Order: sequence, then structure tokens, then C-alpha cells
Amino acid sequence: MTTETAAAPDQTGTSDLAAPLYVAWQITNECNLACLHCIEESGPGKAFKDELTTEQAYHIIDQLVKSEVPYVSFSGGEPMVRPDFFGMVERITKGGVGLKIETNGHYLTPENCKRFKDLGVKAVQVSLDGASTASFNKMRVHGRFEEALNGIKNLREAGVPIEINFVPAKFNIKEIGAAVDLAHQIGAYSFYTGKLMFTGNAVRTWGITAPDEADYPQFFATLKEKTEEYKGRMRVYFHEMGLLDELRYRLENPAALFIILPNGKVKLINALPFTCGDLKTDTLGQVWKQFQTAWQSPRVGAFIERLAEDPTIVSRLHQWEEVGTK
Amino acid sequence: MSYEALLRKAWKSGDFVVTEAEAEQADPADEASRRKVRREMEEIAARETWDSNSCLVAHREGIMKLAPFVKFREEKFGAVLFETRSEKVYTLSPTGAAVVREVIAGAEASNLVAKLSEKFEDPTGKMAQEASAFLAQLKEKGLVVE
Repeated sequence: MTTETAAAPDQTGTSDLAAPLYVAWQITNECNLACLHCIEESGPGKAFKDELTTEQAYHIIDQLVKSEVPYVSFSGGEPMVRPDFFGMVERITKGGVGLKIETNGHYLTPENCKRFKDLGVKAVQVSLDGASTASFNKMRVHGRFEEALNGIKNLREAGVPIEINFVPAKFNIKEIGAAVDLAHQIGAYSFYTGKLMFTGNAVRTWGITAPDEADYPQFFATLKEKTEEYKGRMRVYFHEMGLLDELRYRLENPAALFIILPNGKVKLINALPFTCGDLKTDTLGQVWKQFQTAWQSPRVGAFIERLAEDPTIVSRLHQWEEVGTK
Repeated sequence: MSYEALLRKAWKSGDFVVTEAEAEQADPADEASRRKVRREMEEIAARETWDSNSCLVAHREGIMKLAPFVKFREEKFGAVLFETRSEKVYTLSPTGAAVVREVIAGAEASNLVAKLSEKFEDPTGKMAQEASAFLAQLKEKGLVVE
């Protein structure tokens, strides 16, 4: 999310805002796939025991609507496996919030895609890590490349805007040019990628997933070429920053977004273990205030600096630590 | 004659009517053609529904509105615009916010600045100048459609 200034005051930080501008909501940790790099360590049978009930989820949606949060993404796990998924989609879109779905594409039947269209879903982002069956299926354990492609075709036929997300690995990084071409060919309007991060499942699979650092310059060079090639037809977004650089930047410039976990706890940013509230017990307004103070906590800054010396501490990503005062 | 060709002929004629005789000429087994036309027609219908709600009316009457992928929220310092397709945020000063409020209220391009000048004291004309330039920026970035 970038910020531009238009007829703007001199300085506008997140503390000036009445509510977040973007909420990334992981609505379940359950997933039909068990991807090698999954930052959430999701998979079959991996739903949290204390995930939000439908009633609790609806209560959060009502607060997001009331606070005029402009954009929310539903992700997971695989968000579409939640039994009340479409109820949540309907409630939030009817409330006027722009909604993006982040999915692995295996539940995108023609009927589901039509429902997205009818409900005014702003975008569906499908993870497509590779331009070939071999690399996709290797990365996405239990996944089927053809099924994801078929789902994207159904989105296109229903007229739902499509985004593609690509995570590089040792075995797919050289397919990046073909992957961007494929994204355009199947009708995407945006393509997102960056570096593989040493978090989640990637910590355990690093030996087989991590690209050779020497491959990254060519990876980004190809992306720069593709950005130009598809200018005006498809946006190609990529982040060259590694995890540490990204976190140092965020420490100085927190984005106006937070992450809701499947159990209602709220994280500052996905790649840090820090939470700043619990939407089962706190209001959205309270959590937003706590979010401001949490980023200033010395514990957050200290963790990021420790990361510079010991990258393995991100394996504690899911051992949440509460920061920010109530 | 394929279903697609038949439809195109009807559209070209401008009456959008397929006579019974013409329909009999269409190949009912031409499912691929039928699906293609149906998809195209749905795209056109979706576009024209949007147009009839905004663009076409706007073109006729000079009325503006926020683009469909733009969300507006008032803030203490002014307001923010959030463009969901690029996920870009635009922070607006009170003048910027006033311009967008007028757009949302259905102001016409030709008199929006004059309306603002009536509402707010602007002895130097600075606000009118800023508002006019800002409106041009909004249109250029595709955040406001006419």
C-alpha cells in the first residue's frame, strides 16, 4: 500500500487517522493445501481451536463497516473453507467495504465466482507460484495447477478482477518471466511478488525452497522489464527489500493496516510476533489506539534489531507477545 | 449463419431484433459461439449498467462522481481517498476534502469551484485556484469520472 499526497496537510501519520485504511483478516488457519513456504503454517487440520465464531466475526465486520474501513482482505489458511465464508462476504460488501479475497484458487467454481461478482468483490488474488504444473505442484503440496488455472478462468468469465501472487523458490525463480506472461494471458490486472521470507513453513523447508541469492538480480531485472512491457495493461508490483529492511522501514513508517488473526487477536504486521489487542474482547477503536502505541514499544524495535544478528528468531512468529497498553 | 454472426447482424442493424426467420437460420448446435456472445454481452451489459449509473449521465449533464474503485473517508485533518485497484492512499487537506464532498454530492464540473466559493470565504481566490487544480488532478489520476 503506497501513500500519495493530494492537496494534503504537511504530515499525516497513522495516528492522525480515525481507523485503519486496510485490514488484512486471516479468517481461518485451516487450509486444503500444505504449501512449503506458508507463512501461517496453515494446512489440513490446522484451524486454531479458538477461531472466531460466526457471531464474533459478524460483530467485527459491523465495526469495520461503522468505522468506514475502506478495504479489507480475507485470507487464511484458505478463506473459502470457512463454512460461513459467503455470509461474511455478503455482510461486509453490503456494508460498503471494499473486499479482496486471497485464495489458492481451488474453490473458484463458476457458481462461487458469480457470487463474488454479484456481491461486488473488488478483487480475487490467486497464488500462482510458477508457470508450470511441476513447480506449482511442488510448492503447493496437495495443490493442482490446472485447478487453480480453471478457477482463474471462472473468475474471468464472471467478470471478477484478478490479481496474481507469486512466491519465488529455488525451483521456480527462473520461471518469473513466463509467470508474468501467464498472469496477463489469463486476465490478471495485477501481479505481485517479492523475496521468499524466512518465516512460517519456509523456516523448516529453507534448504529446498530458498533461491540462490545469486538468482535474485536476474529475477528483479526480469520483473523490471516486464513492468515496462505490460505498462498500461497489467501492473507488476515487486518488493526488492528483504524482511529486515522491510521491518526497519515499517518501524519508522507504520502502515495504516493491521492483521486480524483467525482467533481475533490483532498483529502489528505479519512478520512480527507482536499483537496489540483482541477483537473478541476489545473494540476496533481500542485496538487501533493500542496499535499506535505498540509500534513505539522498545520491545518491537529491539526484536527487529536482534533479527539483524539472528534471522532465525522469526521462527517465533506464532509465539505471540502482547504489546501496547490498554 | 452462426449465432454470433446473427447477433452481430442484429446489433449492426441498430434495432437489436432477431426475426423468427433469422433465428431459424442460426445453428442451435453452435454452443461455443453462443457462449462467446453471451460473455461479450454480459461484459457490455455490466459496462453499460455502470455507464447508465454514472458515465453516460455524467457526459450528458457534466456531472462527476468518484470512480468505482475509490473510497472516501472524512478525517480530522481533511480526508483520505483509497484506490482499491492500486491500493494507493491519497491524503486530502480540508480543501481537497471539500472538493470530493461536492463530487459525491453530484456537482457539475462547470460549477463546482463556484459552489465552493459560495460556501467558504475566499477573498484572495486561493482556495478556488487550489480546488480547480486539485479537481484536474483527480480526473487525471482517474479517481473522478465525468
